[in-house]
Amino acid sequence: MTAYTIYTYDNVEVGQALDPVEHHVTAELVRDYAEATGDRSSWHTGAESPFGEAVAHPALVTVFTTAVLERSAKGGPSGGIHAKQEYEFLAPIRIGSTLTTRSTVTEKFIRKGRKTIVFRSESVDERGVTVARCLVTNILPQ
Amino acid sequence: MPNPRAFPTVSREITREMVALYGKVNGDRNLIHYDDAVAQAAGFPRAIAHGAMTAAVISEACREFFGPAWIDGGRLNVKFIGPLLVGDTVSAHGEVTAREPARSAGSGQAPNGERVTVNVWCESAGGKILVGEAIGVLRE
Repeated sequence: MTAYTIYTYDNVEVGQALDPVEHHVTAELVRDYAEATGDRSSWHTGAESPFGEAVAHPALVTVFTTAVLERSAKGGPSGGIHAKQEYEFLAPIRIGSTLTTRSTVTEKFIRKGRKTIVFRSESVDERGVTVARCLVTNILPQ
Repeated sequence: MPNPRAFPTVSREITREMVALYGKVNGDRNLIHYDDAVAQAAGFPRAIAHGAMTAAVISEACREFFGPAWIDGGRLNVKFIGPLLVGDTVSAHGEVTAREPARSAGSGQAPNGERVTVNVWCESAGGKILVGEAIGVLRE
């Protein structure tokens, strides 16, 4: 298993690049996401969509951005709270593609005693197509 | 009047099984989503769903409204303002607030239709739990 950084409020700085995360978008992953969210649209789970073949739900990118910090949390008492998220869905996510999500810290602050970091992410597939850009505001485990 | 369609409402009961499967997909093992006692210690009546499950219901409603242009060029900004308790029903709502001629639409398609801004929100038994804005192109 690849080693990864355990991120805390004190060891991240504005401008810092966080460890990239990689996801293989299998048909099984998309089916599980469909069952978990209840969105079983045939565009995602069937054989075809307006893009030709079925494509992933665009909001699947929230899974990739969650992974940026979540794998540091190790199921502790709190893995943090999503406060705000901004997403741009720039291209369909192809089933079978491999997405690399790279993130950079843009802000960190403590508000009402809550340690918060903001990071900007970009998810790019193996062909170099940017499928989504995100801005995530996350309250860290206290 | 062009595109007089209303923004659809999508309602969904979020079961324990869905929350467990979502945790398998996103790798979030935080017990606040699975163990009522842990959630109660944190001040909630019972386990809470993953926040992004609420965003997923909004995104589904946006896909119903915008069609393929949502997947290829949609923008969604959300703020999580309250928890969704496991077993509760979440409903996604929206209200169109602005329309203008579209300049471009996603990855390289000819611009046509309108660029539409929608105020979006989610409600559960406890009131509003998510507020935000969705922007996309509504084709003619």
